[in-house]
Amino acid sequence: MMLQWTQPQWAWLWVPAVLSLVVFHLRTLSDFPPRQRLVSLLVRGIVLTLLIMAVCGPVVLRSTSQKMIVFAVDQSESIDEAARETADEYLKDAIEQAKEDDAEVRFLPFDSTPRQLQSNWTAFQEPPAETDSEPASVEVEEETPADVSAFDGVDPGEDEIPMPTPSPTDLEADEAKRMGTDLAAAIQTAVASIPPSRVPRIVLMSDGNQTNGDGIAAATDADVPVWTVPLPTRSEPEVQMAAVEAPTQVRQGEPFFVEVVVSSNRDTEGHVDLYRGDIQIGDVDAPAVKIKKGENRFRFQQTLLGQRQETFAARLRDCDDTLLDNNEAQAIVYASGKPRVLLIDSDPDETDSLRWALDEQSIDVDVRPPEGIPSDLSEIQGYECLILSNVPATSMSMRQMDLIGIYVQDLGGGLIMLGGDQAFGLGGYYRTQIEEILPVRSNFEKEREKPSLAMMLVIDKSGSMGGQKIELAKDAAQAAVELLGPKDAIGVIAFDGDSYTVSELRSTSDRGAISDAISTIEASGGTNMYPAMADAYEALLGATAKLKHVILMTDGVSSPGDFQGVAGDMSASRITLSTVALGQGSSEDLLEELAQIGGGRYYFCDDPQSVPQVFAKETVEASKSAINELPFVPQLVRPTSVLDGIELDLSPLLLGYVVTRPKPTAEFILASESGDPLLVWWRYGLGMSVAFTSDAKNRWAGEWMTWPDFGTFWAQIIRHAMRKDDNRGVFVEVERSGNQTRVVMDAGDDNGRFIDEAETRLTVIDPRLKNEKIAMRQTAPGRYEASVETLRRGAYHFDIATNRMDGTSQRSSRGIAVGYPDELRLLPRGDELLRQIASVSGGRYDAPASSITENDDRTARDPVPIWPWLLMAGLVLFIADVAFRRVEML
Amino acid sequence: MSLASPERLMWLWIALPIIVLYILKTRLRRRPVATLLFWEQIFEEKRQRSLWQNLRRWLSLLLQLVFVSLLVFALADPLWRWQADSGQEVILVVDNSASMQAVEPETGQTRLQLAVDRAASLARGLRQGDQMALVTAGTTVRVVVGMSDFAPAIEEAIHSIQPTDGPTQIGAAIEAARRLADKNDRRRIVVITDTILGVQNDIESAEDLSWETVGTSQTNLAITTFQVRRSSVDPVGYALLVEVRNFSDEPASTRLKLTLGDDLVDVVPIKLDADGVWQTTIDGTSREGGVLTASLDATDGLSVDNVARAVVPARPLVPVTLVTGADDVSFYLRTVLESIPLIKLTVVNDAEQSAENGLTIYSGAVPTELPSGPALFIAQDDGPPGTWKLGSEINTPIVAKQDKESSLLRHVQLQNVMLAGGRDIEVDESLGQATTLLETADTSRVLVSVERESGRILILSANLDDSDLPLRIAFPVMMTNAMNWFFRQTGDMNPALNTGLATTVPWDFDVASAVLMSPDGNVRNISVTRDHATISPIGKAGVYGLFSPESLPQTDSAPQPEQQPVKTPEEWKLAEDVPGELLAVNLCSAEESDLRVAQQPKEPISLVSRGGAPAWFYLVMLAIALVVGEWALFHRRVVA
Repeated sequence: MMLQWTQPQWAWLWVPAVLSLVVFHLRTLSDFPPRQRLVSLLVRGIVLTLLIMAVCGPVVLRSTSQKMIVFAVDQSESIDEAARETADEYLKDAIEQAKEDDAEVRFLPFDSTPRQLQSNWTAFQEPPAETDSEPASVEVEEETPADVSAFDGVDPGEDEIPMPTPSPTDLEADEAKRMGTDLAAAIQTAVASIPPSRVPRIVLMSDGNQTNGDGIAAATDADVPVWTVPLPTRSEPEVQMAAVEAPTQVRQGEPFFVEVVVSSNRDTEGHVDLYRGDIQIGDVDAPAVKIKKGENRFRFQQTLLGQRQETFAARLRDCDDTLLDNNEAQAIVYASGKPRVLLIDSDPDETDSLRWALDEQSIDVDVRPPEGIPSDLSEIQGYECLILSNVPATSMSMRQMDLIGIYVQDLGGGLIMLGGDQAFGLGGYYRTQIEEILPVRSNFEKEREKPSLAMMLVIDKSGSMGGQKIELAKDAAQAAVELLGPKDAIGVIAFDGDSYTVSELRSTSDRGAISDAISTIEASGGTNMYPAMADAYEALLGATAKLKHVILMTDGVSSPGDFQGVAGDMSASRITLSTVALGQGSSEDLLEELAQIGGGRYYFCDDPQSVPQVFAKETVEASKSAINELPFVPQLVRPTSVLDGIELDLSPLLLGYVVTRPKPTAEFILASESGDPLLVWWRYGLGMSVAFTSDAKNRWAGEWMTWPDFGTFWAQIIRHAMRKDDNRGVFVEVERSGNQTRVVMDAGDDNGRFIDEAETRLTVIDPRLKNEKIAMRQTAPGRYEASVETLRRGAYHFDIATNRMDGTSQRSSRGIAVGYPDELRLLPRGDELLRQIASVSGGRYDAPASSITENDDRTARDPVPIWPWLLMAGLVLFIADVAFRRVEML
Repeated sequence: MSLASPERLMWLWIALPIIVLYILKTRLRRRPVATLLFWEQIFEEKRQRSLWQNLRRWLSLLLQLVFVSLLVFALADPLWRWQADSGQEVILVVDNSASMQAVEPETGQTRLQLAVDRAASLARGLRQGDQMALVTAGTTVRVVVGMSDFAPAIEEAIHSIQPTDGPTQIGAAIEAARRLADKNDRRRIVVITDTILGVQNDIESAEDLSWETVGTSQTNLAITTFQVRRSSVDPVGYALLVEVRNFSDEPASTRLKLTLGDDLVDVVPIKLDADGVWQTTIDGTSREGGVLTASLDATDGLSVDNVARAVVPARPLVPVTLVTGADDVSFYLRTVLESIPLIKLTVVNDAEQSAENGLTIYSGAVPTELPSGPALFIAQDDGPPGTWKLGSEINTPIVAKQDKESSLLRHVQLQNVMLAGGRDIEVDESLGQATTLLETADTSRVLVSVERESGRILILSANLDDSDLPLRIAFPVMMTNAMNWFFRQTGDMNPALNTGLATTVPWDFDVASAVLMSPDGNVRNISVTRDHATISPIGKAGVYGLFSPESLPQTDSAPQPEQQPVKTPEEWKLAEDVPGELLAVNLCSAEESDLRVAQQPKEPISLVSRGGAPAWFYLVMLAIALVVGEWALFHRRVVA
């Protein structure tokens, strides 16, 4: 028992109050006997003292063993129906026991954040999405692996949780919250919800698999015994690829282990396939392996020879399994070695001489056809330089162009474009991302002596073209207008069921008006191609231009008509016809036939995004002005150390090039005899891009290939353009734990000494291809570190740029693959964690519900306010006080 | 308005005896007098006053009844409306991070003491119906006391707050505080810290947040980075990165004293500009390693950042067995090997003997089977079957080409050196991945390294006794490189940790659990998973020990006799061969060491927002006034 005053500041009242009692007592006019008056004063004084004491807020601290038990109940995604039932049963018994022993109980459901504290247990709230929906949402992910997924952004603290839809509903937010388990936050909140007047006890019911927070630290700090009750983990048969573990960086030829970690909740059998890039390692028909309950590790010894970067992916198949989405994981391994270059050529057979020349110069070259243009960043990151040799823009998707942009701009890769009849303007690069990167433009001043061109664009404006399609078609038509020279003429016809002349055939000097007319096209109606074709034919028939061309684009099947006839007429009148089929539903065969009859080209665009490139390519090609096929000797415009040792004066003739225009800040190195760019480069972001408008194969460089300096010339240019990914002495470690990835770089110079005080910057490209730049901090001799938040599923790419004190600089690139969220991981029950939480906090592990109210020798101090008692005493005394007035006693 | 204890209205019955007392006629006093004549005369004159006499009695009764009803009403504890439904939930967030240990020059109090005083006064001001919780925000977020309406308990908890050496976690603390009280309109978070709102923690000012800054700006010198690692060049060397910062608008100078164990290593004078940073790497040598301590010779606001420690890992001696031919002494090789530090050389002439856990060097001898560990061969004959074959003798074995990138040939220039006895080494593919390091003019491979799983192999085909290679400076350098290459000892480190950071450290011992011993000898269990020990944030700087629990006497279970002095982790490690590592923990945080506080407009925070004291308090106050007033009236005979 201990008395405390909560408002002792009112005690002063006693002095004036008692003083005034005494004063009036002395100056009394009362005729009671003095002794009675004195007793009366005493009684009144006591009453007054009691009242003032009450005002001062006395509190008696009573020692109590009254318990308050907070049940923190895990409700995250890893808790399934069976576990919920276990929890409910336990709680039922525990509540009964508590009632018996008169202990107060509270309930705190939690997942990645603690929820509302409840006084009554209302059984489990049904999760908004049942387990059935999991595979469904994962399928969505697989279709768009790099996109934002519903499982992203599991961070309770982040307000701006990235969500797949612009306006996330509460349900979705709830779903996201369930994708995590934060034991630490649950313990903290539970501790805080117990008032100091109760003996606290926390019962933590969880499967012990925390995804964020440090439960042990929170339990250590809590100062409250945390009893832990393990809940069972998933009970449906489940096998899961937990991780592919491989070193981030290895030496060339050094053997290392790729460890595949498979988790299962029962003994089963299955196949574990390991893929290196796209190739499966080992026997395809290997027998099934035994998978034990718990964690299984399979080790595959590997070495990297020649490659710079390799993705190892492991897949599980033919297992007794419920969720199929978590059966794949991957890891990216990096090896230092010779520089590697990816050469994309529309005719790979013609690249031999360039490849041999580069091999001799110690540059590894991979040659692929345009279909092999990398479509993910990990793949392209394995190369220091990308060479596009005569590859049209139409063979690339928007995404591939974006990837190349990021590769050059943010990851410091090199891009070289070589000329040919499919390159630059002829490849339809006008106004593309690639043109943005290149140091030259593909629209150029058309020379006067070139033949004039009259072109009709015949565009389908039927209802099916609505939305993005018609807008892209209009953009494409406008770009075509911009690409033509002043002597050329263009007309636009749109058709649905009928034919409408949007813009008469007229000179492109009036570009503005034509453009305006094009923008008025709106999609509606049916599809009838014939009248429009006939109109186009008639319009061109009367034109005076030397070259006449029609581009016909449709996305549907036309009402019947004599299309072949018109095409034949066109051909007879030396009018060429190219056709563009947009999407699967269009009459592809017919359009292809028409292009054949009309002596033009046929294009199939699956993606309306590529329509502008097709139009640009067609326009440039039709005007036959972008190629200059007169033999010439390259002229040195700007001397550069890159071409040191190469005797350009002795170089043989080049037989042609693509006409382009250099960008103002580009470095214009070599020119043709007429002053057009031949070799131009510039720095773009962190990388470099080079335009060589002639080629490196038989068509134009037949004589060059016999030139002794041919190999050196290309090797030096490629070395200049490529990423200086010189990793001698640099060792980068990338480790991920939870949402954080730590990048640690150890840097030493050629003599093995640590490199200190270097300025290091880390560029991170996340799976959405957004980039972020972070300064790395030196933390030890030769060691630099940075931490990155890696919340999203997909591949993260890191580029580390080091500027040393001596002025030299170095770049290193690494990657990491982030798999599905940790909450979905099939982990064995975290018994160890739960046991430790119990042991550090002085609680018990897995105690039966009947012992939940078990006494320990702790007590709490319950404050009991005693002012009511003082008032009651005052009241009783007051009767005596009154009695002394009314009755003469003494 | 409702009543908390309406049953106490029963006490109104107490008015009954009072009324009864008033109805009772006051017994008149008997006094014998000579005549009643004058009495009657005066009685007639004062008749009109007797009405007042009556009234006085009733007024007196009324006052008594008012008094009784005031007290009884107070007893029933009426609740104001605000009390019933909108008491505040106040969460005090007290920063007890390292910077709060800074001593204020004027008062001699630490910032934490100021903060505690301030928090205590806020707790004292807690109103009825309000609840308060206490959270500390240094090193880790800790809920010290849960929601309570009893101010003394909170005050007591406030006074129990201890300083930590860790960084501030204000952001996380506010996040936790928001979780503790989920009703936004009733929540009030009061942060008492020495940092400025939003400056370091990206916290946006919000409705529910009140910020109170304690402390005044002070200058401070601090060690902000201190990390040591083994040199990658010198086997017994180490490199130390140290950064000292001046958190002041004035230049400063100081001295940095470095000691390794008890030995003084260096004293470095440092001059720092205003806001200056001094960073350097210092090289030293020590095979045994130990705790390297840096201390700044400075008396400033904060002392914890003037000392930093790091552990230099010990370099174990590597057992090397030199196997020589029966009649071959390999004089040169032996001399060179003896001169290399860290080598424990054993010379045998039995080709079948090999070093356990170490390197075996065969000079002129070839075993029948390759040893399982790493091996160096000075080969003059073919190797064991399936390993390598030597080609025929070369006329002029001059080295023409050397692998410049190999770490084995670092600082070594062997081009144009005659390698007597050099023959082409043809390594069998089954042995492993071979790399040619030295090549003669006729493309014979004379130095080849092989990577294989059970240990690397290096083969040099030369006759050291005839060749001039051993006489060159390149030879000992090459051998030293080879030792580094075999044991991959390049810059290993035992990183010094920072306070307040959760981290994992390698745990190479074959024990499934570990304990962390703090500098004052307390131990706590640490979880170990697959070669890594996970260490939760540490709140005090110093040298900790990460030991295997079996190796320590059972200190935690059996209470130790008090007279036995507590051994520090360092003493444990030095005195006995305890398996485990020392861990140095430092503050090393520029944010914490910067003691400058930007002036922020101060608005005094008080928790009086609505209402104030409960109704009974006012009722009792009224009753007190009444009881005193009535006393005065009675004695002045205004009331009877």
